Amino acid sequence: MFFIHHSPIGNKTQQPIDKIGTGLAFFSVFRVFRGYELRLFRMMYTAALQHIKLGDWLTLLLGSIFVALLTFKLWSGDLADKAIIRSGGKIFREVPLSRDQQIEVPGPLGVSIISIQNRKARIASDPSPRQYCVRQGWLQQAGEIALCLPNQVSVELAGSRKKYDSLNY
Amino acid sequence: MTTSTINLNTTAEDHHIARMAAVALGLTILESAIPSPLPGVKPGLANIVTLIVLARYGWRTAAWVSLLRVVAGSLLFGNFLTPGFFLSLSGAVLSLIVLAFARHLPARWFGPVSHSIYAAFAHITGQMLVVYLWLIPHAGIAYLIPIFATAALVFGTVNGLIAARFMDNFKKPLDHGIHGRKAI
Repeated sequence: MFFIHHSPIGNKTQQPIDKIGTGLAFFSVFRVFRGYELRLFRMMYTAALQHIKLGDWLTLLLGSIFVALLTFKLWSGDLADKAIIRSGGKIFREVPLSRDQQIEVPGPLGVSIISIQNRKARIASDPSPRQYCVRQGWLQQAGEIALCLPNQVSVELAGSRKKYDSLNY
Repeated sequence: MTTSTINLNTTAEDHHIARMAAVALGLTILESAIPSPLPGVKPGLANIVTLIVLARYGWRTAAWVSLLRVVAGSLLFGNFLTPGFFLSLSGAVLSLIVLAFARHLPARWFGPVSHSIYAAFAHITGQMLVVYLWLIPHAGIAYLIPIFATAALVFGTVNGLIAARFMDNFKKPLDHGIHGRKAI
Protein backbone atom coordinates (compact mmCIF):
# COMPACT_ATOMS: atom_id res chain seq x y z
CA MET A 1 0.00 0.00 0.00
CA PHE A 2 2.88 2.33 0.74
CA PHE A 3 4.85 1.67 -2.43
CA ILE A 4 3.75 3.55 -5.48
CA HIS A 5 4.79 1.62 -8.55
CA HIS A 6 5.02 3.64 -11.69
CA SER A 7 3.83 1.30 -14.40
CA PRO A 8 5.28 1.91 -17.85
CA ILE A 9 1.81 1.72 -19.42
CA GLY A 10 -0.22 4.92 -18.88
CA ASN A 11 -3.90 5.19 -17.96
CA LYS A 12 -6.36 3.97 -20.55
CA THR A 13 -8.44 6.71 -22.13
CA GLN A 14 -11.91 7.22 -20.65
CA GLN A 15 -14.56 5.49 -22.72
CA PRO A 16 -17.69 7.40 -23.79
CA ILE A 17 -19.84 4.95 -21.84
CA ASP A 18 -18.12 6.07 -18.63
CA LYS A 19 -19.09 9.68 -19.26
CA ILE A 20 -22.73 8.71 -19.88
CA GLY A 21 -22.79 6.60 -16.71
CA THR A 22 -21.42 9.44 -14.56
CA GLY A 23 -23.96 11.84 -15.98
CA LEU A 24 -26.84 9.45 -15.28
CA ALA A 25 -25.66 8.95 -11.70
CA PHE A 26 -25.55 12.70 -11.00
CA PHE A 27 -28.96 13.22 -12.62
CA SER A 28 -30.62 10.46 -10.60
CA VAL A 29 -29.17 11.76 -7.32
CA PHE A 30 -30.49 15.23 -8.15
CA ARG A 31 -33.97 13.81 -8.84
CA VAL A 32 -34.10 11.96 -5.50
CA PHE A 33 -32.96 14.94 -3.43
CA ARG A 34 -35.26 17.51 -4.89
CA GLY A 35 -38.10 17.01 -2.48
CA TYR A 36 -38.35 16.78 1.26
CA GLU A 37 -34.82 15.54 1.61
CA LEU A 38 -33.37 18.85 0.53
CA ARG A 39 -35.31 20.76 3.20
CA LEU A 40 -34.19 18.26 5.81
CA PHE A 41 -30.57 18.64 4.85
CA ARG A 42 -30.91 22.42 4.94
CA MET A 43 -32.44 22.24 8.43
CA MET A 44 -29.66 20.01 9.69
CA TYR A 45 -27.08 22.22 8.05
CA THR A 46 -28.33 25.46 9.68
CA ALA A 47 -28.81 23.69 13.03
CA ALA A 48 -25.19 22.67 12.89
CA LEU A 49 -23.93 26.07 11.82
CA GLN A 50 -25.50 27.96 14.72
CA HIS A 51 -23.33 26.03 17.17
CA ILE A 52 -20.08 27.00 15.53
CA LYS A 53 -18.90 30.24 17.07
CA LEU A 54 -16.24 32.59 15.75
CA GLY A 55 -13.36 30.98 17.63
CA ASP A 56 -14.56 27.60 16.42
CA TRP A 57 -14.20 28.72 12.82
CA LEU A 58 -10.66 29.79 13.66
CA THR A 59 -9.94 26.39 15.15
CA LEU A 60 -11.42 24.69 12.11
CA LEU A 61 -9.27 26.82 9.83
CA LEU A 62 -6.13 26.12 11.83
CA GLY A 63 -6.94 22.43 11.91
CA SER A 64 -7.52 22.28 8.15
CA ILE A 65 -4.26 24.09 7.47
CA PHE A 66 -2.46 21.71 9.81
CA VAL A 67 -3.94 18.65 8.11
CA ALA A 68 -3.11 20.03 4.67
CA LEU A 69 0.49 20.73 5.73
CA LEU A 70 0.87 17.24 7.14
CA THR A 71 -0.53 15.65 4.00
CA PHE A 72 1.66 17.77 1.76
CA LYS A 73 4.81 17.11 3.75
CA LEU A 74 4.39 13.41 4.44
CA TRP A 75 2.74 12.23 1.25
CA SER A 76 4.78 14.26 -1.21
CA GLY A 77 7.00 11.34 -2.13
CA ASP A 78 10.10 12.72 -0.46
CA LEU A 79 10.01 9.97 2.12
CA ALA A 80 12.55 7.29 1.38
CA ASP A 81 10.77 4.12 0.31
CA LYS A 82 13.36 1.81 -1.10
CA ALA A 83 17.09 1.30 -1.36
CA ILE A 84 18.53 0.84 -4.85
CA ILE A 85 21.66 -1.31 -4.71
CA ARG A 86 23.93 -1.11 -7.71
CA SER A 87 26.86 -3.38 -8.51
CA GLY A 88 29.19 -2.77 -11.40
CA GLY A 89 27.04 0.09 -12.65
CA LYS A 90 23.87 -1.98 -13.03
CA ILE A 91 21.01 -2.18 -10.56
CA PHE A 92 21.63 -5.25 -8.43
CA ARG A 93 18.41 -5.11 -6.40
CA GLU A 94 15.73 -2.68 -5.27
CA VAL A 95 14.90 -3.37 -1.67
CA PRO A 96 11.99 -1.86 0.29
CA LEU A 97 12.97 -0.20 3.56
CA SER A 98 9.99 -1.59 5.45
CA ARG A 99 11.70 -4.78 6.55
CA ASP A 100 14.98 -5.09 8.45
CA GLN A 101 17.40 -7.19 6.43
CA GLN A 102 20.99 -7.68 5.40
CA ILE A 103 21.99 -8.03 1.77
CA GLU A 104 25.33 -9.32 0.52
CA VAL A 105 26.47 -7.82 -2.74
CA PRO A 106 29.36 -9.48 -4.59
CA GLY A 107 31.93 -7.28 -6.28
CA PRO A 108 35.42 -7.54 -7.81
CA LEU A 109 37.11 -7.11 -4.42
CA GLY A 110 34.76 -9.21 -2.34
CA VAL A 111 31.39 -9.06 -0.69
CA SER A 112 29.85 -5.82 0.59
CA ILE A 113 27.18 -6.22 3.21
CA ILE A 114 24.37 -3.68 3.17
CA SER A 115 22.16 -3.60 6.23
CA ILE A 116 18.70 -2.10 6.38
CA GLN A 117 17.34 -1.35 9.81
CA ASN A 118 14.56 0.90 11.11
CA ARG A 119 13.97 2.32 7.66
CA LYS A 120 17.61 3.38 7.34
CA ALA A 121 20.32 1.79 5.23
CA ARG A 122 24.08 1.64 5.49
CA ILE A 123 26.97 -0.29 4.09
CA ALA A 124 27.93 -2.42 7.07
CA SER A 125 31.14 -3.89 5.71
CA ASP A 126 33.11 -3.58 2.54
CA PRO A 127 36.51 -4.91 1.38
CA SER A 128 37.77 -1.52 0.22
CA PRO A 129 41.06 -0.14 1.63
CA ARG A 130 39.86 3.25 2.85
CA GLN A 131 36.29 2.29 3.92
CA TYR A 132 34.76 5.58 2.78
CA CYS A 133 31.37 4.02 2.17
CA VAL A 134 31.28 2.34 5.57
CA ARG A 135 32.22 5.62 7.24
CA GLN A 136 29.31 7.29 5.45
CA GLY A 137 27.09 5.83 8.10
CA TRP A 138 23.32 5.59 8.07
CA LEU A 139 21.44 6.88 5.06
CA GLN A 140 18.05 8.17 6.02
CA GLN A 141 16.59 10.64 3.53
CA ALA A 142 15.62 10.07 -0.06
CA GLY A 143 18.46 10.87 -2.42
CA GLU A 144 21.26 9.99 -0.01
CA ILE A 145 23.84 7.66 -1.49
CA ALA A 146 26.90 5.73 -0.34
CA LEU A 147 29.47 4.57 -2.88
CA CYS A 148 32.15 1.90 -2.65
CA LEU A 149 34.18 2.71 -5.71
CA PRO A 150 36.83 -0.02 -5.31
CA ASN A 151 34.19 -2.73 -5.04
CA GLN A 152 31.83 -0.95 -7.47
CA VAL A 153 28.88 -1.17 -5.07
CA SER A 154 26.52 1.68 -4.25
CA VAL A 155 23.34 2.04 -2.27
CA GLU A 156 20.95 4.90 -2.83
CA LEU A 157 17.73 5.70 -1.01
CA ALA A 158 14.84 6.64 -3.27
CA GLY A 159 11.33 7.87 -2.63
CA SER A 160 8.45 7.82 -5.04
CA ARG A 161 9.71 11.00 -6.65
CA LYS A 162 13.12 11.30 -8.27
CA LYS A 163 15.29 13.73 -6.37
CA TYR A 164 18.07 14.39 -8.88
CA ASP A 165 17.77 14.44 -12.63
CA SER A 166 21.04 12.59 -13.09
CA LEU A 167 24.11 11.72 -11.10
CA ASN A 168 27.52 11.12 -12.52
CA TYR A 169 30.34 9.66 -10.57
CA MET B 1 -18.83 -17.97 61.37
CA THR B 2 -19.71 -14.35 61.02
CA THR B 3 -19.66 -12.92 57.56
CA SER B 4 -17.57 -9.81 57.16
CA THR B 5 -18.80 -7.08 54.95
CA ILE B 6 -16.75 -4.38 53.33
CA ASN B 7 -18.60 -1.08 53.28
CA LEU B 8 -17.66 1.30 50.54
CA ASN B 9 -19.03 4.67 51.45
CA THR B 10 -20.02 6.25 48.19
CA THR B 11 -21.13 9.82 47.88
CA ALA B 12 -23.73 11.16 45.52
CA GLU B 13 -20.92 12.58 43.39
CA ASP B 14 -19.50 9.08 42.97
CA HIS B 15 -22.86 7.88 41.75
CA HIS B 16 -23.09 10.79 39.38
CA ILE B 17 -19.65 10.18 37.88
CA ALA B 18 -20.36 6.48 37.59
CA ARG B 19 -23.63 7.16 35.80
CA MET B 20 -21.94 9.39 33.24
CA ALA B 21 -19.10 6.94 32.76
CA ALA B 22 -21.72 4.27 32.10
CA VAL B 23 -23.29 6.44 29.40
CA ALA B 24 -19.87 6.89 27.80
CA LEU B 25 -19.34 3.14 28.03
CA GLY B 26 -22.63 2.52 26.28
CA LEU B 27 -21.55 4.80 23.48
CA THR B 28 -18.27 2.90 23.22
CA ILE B 29 -20.14 -0.35 22.83
CA LEU B 30 -22.39 1.22 20.21
CA GLU B 31 -19.34 2.43 18.36
CA SER B 32 -17.78 -1.01 18.26
CA ALA B 33 -20.61 -2.03 15.96
CA ILE B 34 -19.51 0.52 13.36
CA PRO B 35 -16.86 -0.93 11.03
CA SER B 36 -13.79 1.20 10.50
CA PRO B 37 -11.59 1.13 7.40
CA LEU B 38 -8.38 1.36 9.39
CA PRO B 39 -7.72 0.30 12.99
CA GLY B 40 -7.60 3.45 15.02
CA VAL B 41 -9.92 5.51 12.85
CA LYS B 42 -13.06 5.58 14.95
CA PRO B 43 -15.76 8.22 15.46
CA GLY B 44 -14.95 8.48 19.17
CA LEU B 45 -18.58 8.92 20.20
CA ALA B 46 -17.80 8.51 23.90
CA ASN B 47 -15.90 11.77 23.81
CA ILE B 48 -19.23 13.56 23.42
CA VAL B 49 -19.93 12.66 27.05
CA THR B 50 -16.49 13.92 28.08
CA LEU B 51 -17.13 17.23 26.32
CA ILE B 52 -20.53 17.72 27.92
CA VAL B 53 -19.19 16.83 31.36
CA LEU B 54 -16.27 19.22 30.88
CA ALA B 55 -18.56 22.07 29.95
CA ARG B 56 -21.03 21.48 32.76
CA TYR B 57 -19.16 20.00 35.72
CA GLY B 58 -15.52 20.92 35.25
CA TRP B 59 -12.29 19.26 34.35
CA ARG B 60 -11.85 16.91 37.31
CA THR B 61 -15.20 15.27 36.73
CA ALA B 62 -14.47 14.97 33.02
CA ALA B 63 -11.09 13.37 33.79
CA TRP B 64 -12.75 10.86 36.10
CA VAL B 65 -15.41 10.01 33.52
CA SER B 66 -12.92 9.69 30.69
CA LEU B 67 -10.38 7.53 32.48
CA LEU B 68 -13.06 5.37 34.06
CA ARG B 69 -14.52 4.84 30.63
CA VAL B 70 -11.15 3.78 29.18
CA VAL B 71 -10.42 1.29 31.98
CA ALA B 72 -13.94 -0.10 32.26
CA GLY B 73 -14.27 -0.32 28.49
CA SER B 74 -11.05 -2.25 28.23
CA LEU B 75 -12.20 -4.66 30.94
CA LEU B 76 -15.51 -5.07 29.16
CA PHE B 77 -13.99 -5.84 25.79
CA GLY B 78 -11.18 -7.93 27.24
CA ASN B 79 -8.54 -5.45 26.14
CA PHE B 80 -7.10 -4.60 29.55
CA LEU B 81 -3.31 -4.02 29.42
CA THR B 82 -3.17 -4.91 25.73
CA PRO B 83 -1.48 -2.49 23.30
CA GLY B 84 -4.93 -1.24 22.32
CA PHE B 85 -5.62 -0.32 25.93
CA PHE B 86 -2.40 1.69 26.17
CA LEU B 87 -3.26 3.46 22.93
CA SER B 88 -6.66 4.40 24.32
CA LEU B 89 -5.15 5.45 27.61
CA SER B 90 -2.43 7.60 26.09
CA GLY B 91 -4.94 9.27 23.81
CA ALA B 92 -7.30 9.94 26.69
CA VAL B 93 -4.55 11.30 28.98
CA LEU B 94 -3.10 13.65 26.39
CA SER B 95 -6.51 14.91 25.31
CA LEU B 96 -7.39 15.57 28.96
CA ILE B 97 -4.17 17.56 29.39
CA VAL B 98 -5.00 19.63 26.32
CA LEU B 99 -8.59 20.13 27.54
CA ALA B 100 -7.21 21.43 30.84
CA PHE B 101 -5.69 24.28 28.86
CA ALA B 102 -8.45 24.61 26.26
CA ARG B 103 -11.19 25.14 28.82
CA HIS B 104 -9.62 28.51 29.66
CA LEU B 105 -10.36 29.81 26.19
CA PRO B 106 -13.08 32.50 26.32
CA ALA B 107 -16.42 30.72 26.17
CA ARG B 108 -17.95 33.53 24.16
CA TRP B 109 -15.96 32.56 21.09
CA PHE B 110 -14.84 29.00 21.66
CA GLY B 111 -17.49 26.38 22.14
CA PRO B 112 -17.38 22.59 22.47
CA VAL B 113 -16.44 22.29 18.80
CA SER B 114 -13.04 23.87 19.47
CA HIS B 115 -12.49 21.77 22.58
CA SER B 116 -13.39 18.69 20.61
CA ILE B 117 -10.99 19.45 17.77
CA TYR B 118 -8.08 20.21 20.09
CA ALA B 119 -8.79 17.11 22.13
CA ALA B 120 -9.04 14.97 19.00
CA PHE B 121 -5.67 16.14 17.71
CA ALA B 122 -4.14 15.59 21.13
CA HIS B 123 -5.67 12.12 21.15
CA ILE B 124 -4.04 11.06 17.90
CA THR B 125 -0.77 12.68 18.97
CA GLY B 126 -0.74 10.60 22.15
CA GLN B 127 -1.51 7.46 20.17
CA MET B 128 1.16 8.17 17.56
CA LEU B 129 3.73 8.76 20.30
CA VAL B 130 2.96 5.41 21.94
CA VAL B 131 3.02 3.69 18.56
CA TYR B 132 6.33 5.23 17.52
CA LEU B 133 8.12 4.95 20.86
CA TRP B 134 6.95 1.49 21.78
CA LEU B 135 4.88 -0.53 19.34
CA ILE B 136 6.18 0.21 15.84
CA PRO B 137 9.42 2.26 16.03
CA HIS B 138 9.43 2.67 12.31
CA ALA B 139 9.32 5.82 10.24
CA GLY B 140 6.76 4.18 7.97
CA ILE B 141 3.94 5.23 10.27
CA ALA B 142 4.49 8.74 8.94
CA TYR B 143 2.30 7.64 6.03
CA LEU B 144 -0.59 7.06 8.44
CA ILE B 145 -0.43 10.45 10.13
CA PRO B 146 -2.37 12.38 7.45
CA ILE B 147 -5.19 9.84 7.57
CA PHE B 148 -5.48 10.06 11.33
CA ALA B 149 -5.24 13.85 11.24
CA THR B 150 -8.09 14.09 8.73
CA ALA B 151 -10.19 11.69 10.79
CA ALA B 152 -9.42 13.70 13.93
CA LEU B 153 -10.54 16.93 12.27
CA VAL B 154 -13.74 15.48 10.81
CA PHE B 155 -14.86 13.42 13.76
CA GLY B 156 -13.73 16.08 16.21
CA THR B 157 -16.02 18.57 14.50
CA VAL B 158 -18.94 16.14 14.38
CA ASN B 159 -18.58 15.20 18.04
CA GLY B 160 -18.31 18.85 19.03
CA LEU B 161 -21.49 19.66 17.13
CA ILE B 162 -23.37 16.80 18.73
CA ALA B 163 -22.17 17.86 22.19
CA ALA B 164 -23.20 21.47 21.50
CA ARG B 165 -26.62 20.28 20.34
CA PHE B 166 -27.11 18.28 23.53
CA MET B 167 -26.13 21.25 25.64
CA ASP B 168 -28.73 23.44 23.96
CA ASN B 169 -31.33 22.34 26.46
CA PHE B 170 -29.20 23.38 29.43
CA LYS B 171 -28.27 26.95 28.75
CA LYS B 172 -28.36 28.12 32.38
CA PRO B 173 -25.32 27.24 34.53
CA LEU B 174 -26.10 24.48 36.99
CA ASP B 175 -25.11 24.79 40.62
CA HIS B 176 -26.59 21.81 42.47
CA GLY B 177 -27.08 19.53 39.53
CA ILE B 178 -25.09 16.74 41.18
CA HIS B 179 -27.56 16.31 44.01
CA GLY B 180 -30.62 16.87 41.83
CA ARG B 181 -32.45 14.33 39.81
CA LYS B 182 -31.17 15.17 36.38
CA ALA B 183 -30.61 12.67 33.59
CA ILE B 184 -26.94 13.45 33.13
